Amino acid sequence: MTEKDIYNRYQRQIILPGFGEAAQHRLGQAKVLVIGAGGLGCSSLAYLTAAGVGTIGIVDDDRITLSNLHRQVLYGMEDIGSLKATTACRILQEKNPGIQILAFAERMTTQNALEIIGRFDVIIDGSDNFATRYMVNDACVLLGKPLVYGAVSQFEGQVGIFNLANTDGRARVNYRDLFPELQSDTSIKNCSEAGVLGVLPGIIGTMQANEAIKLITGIGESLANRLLHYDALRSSIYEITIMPGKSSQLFLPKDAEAFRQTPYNVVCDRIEQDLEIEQATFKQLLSNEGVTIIDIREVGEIPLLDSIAHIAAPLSQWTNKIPAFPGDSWICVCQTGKRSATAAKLLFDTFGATKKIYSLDFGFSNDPSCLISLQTDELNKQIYIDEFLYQTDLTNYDLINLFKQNNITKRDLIVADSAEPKSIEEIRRMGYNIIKSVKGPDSVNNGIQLLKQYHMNISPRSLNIIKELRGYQWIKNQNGEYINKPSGADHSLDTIRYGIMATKTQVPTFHIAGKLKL
Amino acid sequence: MNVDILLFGQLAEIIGTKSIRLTEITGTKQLADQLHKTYPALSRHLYRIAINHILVSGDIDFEEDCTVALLPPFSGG
Repeated sequence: MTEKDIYNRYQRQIILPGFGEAAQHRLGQAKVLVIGAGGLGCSSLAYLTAAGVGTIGIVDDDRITLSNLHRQVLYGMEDIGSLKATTACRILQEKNPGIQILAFAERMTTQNALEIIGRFDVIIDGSDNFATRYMVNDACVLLGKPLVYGAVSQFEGQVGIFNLANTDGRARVNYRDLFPELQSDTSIKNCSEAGVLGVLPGIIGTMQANEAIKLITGIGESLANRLLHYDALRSSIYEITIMPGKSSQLFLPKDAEAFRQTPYNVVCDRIEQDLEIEQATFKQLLSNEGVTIIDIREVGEIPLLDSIAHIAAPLSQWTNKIPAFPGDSWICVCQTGKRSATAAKLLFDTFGATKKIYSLDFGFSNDPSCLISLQTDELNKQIYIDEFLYQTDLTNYDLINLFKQNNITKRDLIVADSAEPKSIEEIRRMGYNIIKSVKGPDSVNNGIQLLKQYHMNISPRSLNIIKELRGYQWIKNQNGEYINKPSGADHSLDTIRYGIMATKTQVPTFHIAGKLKL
Repeated sequence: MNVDILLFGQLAEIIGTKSIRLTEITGTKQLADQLHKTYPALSRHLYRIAINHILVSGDIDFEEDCTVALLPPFSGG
């Protein structure tokens, strides 16, 4: 960009009283590091980039998930599964090619924190966990860097500046003057447990960008030594002046070496790590080097996971010793994602400081969602079956859209697999008349027996049902005798069973049976 | 002493309101004792106390009509 372009681009802030070309020049010379490219990071980064901060660093080792998008506004659907740091870097660089943006797609640890933070003038903390927050605070104290702190929970947020003497010369404070010690047993919830209003980190992140810009340009009065508390529901602000506390010194590492030895992760990971990843992220990770897939199911569990290279490590054998695996990213899998989450937590508690640990949410089986309309004529023992949907990788949101497209109303009865209570509850809350399927020790065989009493009329478009029916048969034992167990793909047949059993046990008339398997 | 208490974050969830006015409260320790007795869940939570916008430590006496804020740590980003 030419001098004239630079002037034109930033003209509206250059003409501000007290700003001028000198302040713009200071922004251009400044180096700001944003830790965490999540809700807070997305909004602070967008404004720092637009304002013309000369060098911006982004630290984040996380990947974008669908549940991030309501608040992490830099990203879109096509970015799901991609690294936040590199994605944000690409998007922001396009918005402002006149500045330099550096992506650090790595986890901030005691081994790299001092080196990375040392390269920047102002540090913005937009991380989402206490371990990182204390680590960043301590590194900034050791290096004498101003830290623009921001944090959110549900409908409330906090902003403040640490490690900077304020205008009346009062001694600088740091986060440990507020909460001296990292606690492991406080019941503090993070965004994934407690929820967060999407716009809130937008507001708090923007306030952080504002404080950083004021610090760099020297305009206004900074929030040094103060903590601003914002309540989005009341639109109210409450400010607290922080006084230096005696005990904060006790917990600060005394030098760089002590910092590198401080076990931040061990103290507080239990309360705040979100280890679960979605299918899209999983698929992306599969192609990376150093990724190990760990099947934590017991010996003999089916289906076998033969399509993906993996290590079998049954969870029941972990009681004496938590196993270690090759590679630096470990993904635990099971069929539903429940036991693998437990396994990932165990691994994280032991190896979380050095390895990336994940659990595949919803598991690997990834059965299709089937939505089938059933109508019964009890008098003539006829059943009419019509396939609406047979598709994998659908979210509840997708399903509800498909309900609408297929003219399924909120009055129709929907019967869903009882193994999916979370999905059922979510769809029920959207106003749909959804109930869970009946299951019992012999429900598969009972369902088949019940179906046999009817003459099945299947619509020609029900291609998957027809295909499954042709492949459905009883399993033979070693002696070649049929045993009382069915085999073959049965997703749509399960669905029909759920529907027909619901008519017998709960409701006399109904129209739709859907199996939800996500 | 009449004191206005402001509760932030999850503390408000536990007590069921964001602000309460208490009478016959003399200082921070008595306040904490009384709140923990009425709301046992509160004792599991970490928080700091500010009187009239200034963070305090130890057992501090209240002044008539002061505002006391209870602030928990936030970690979300």
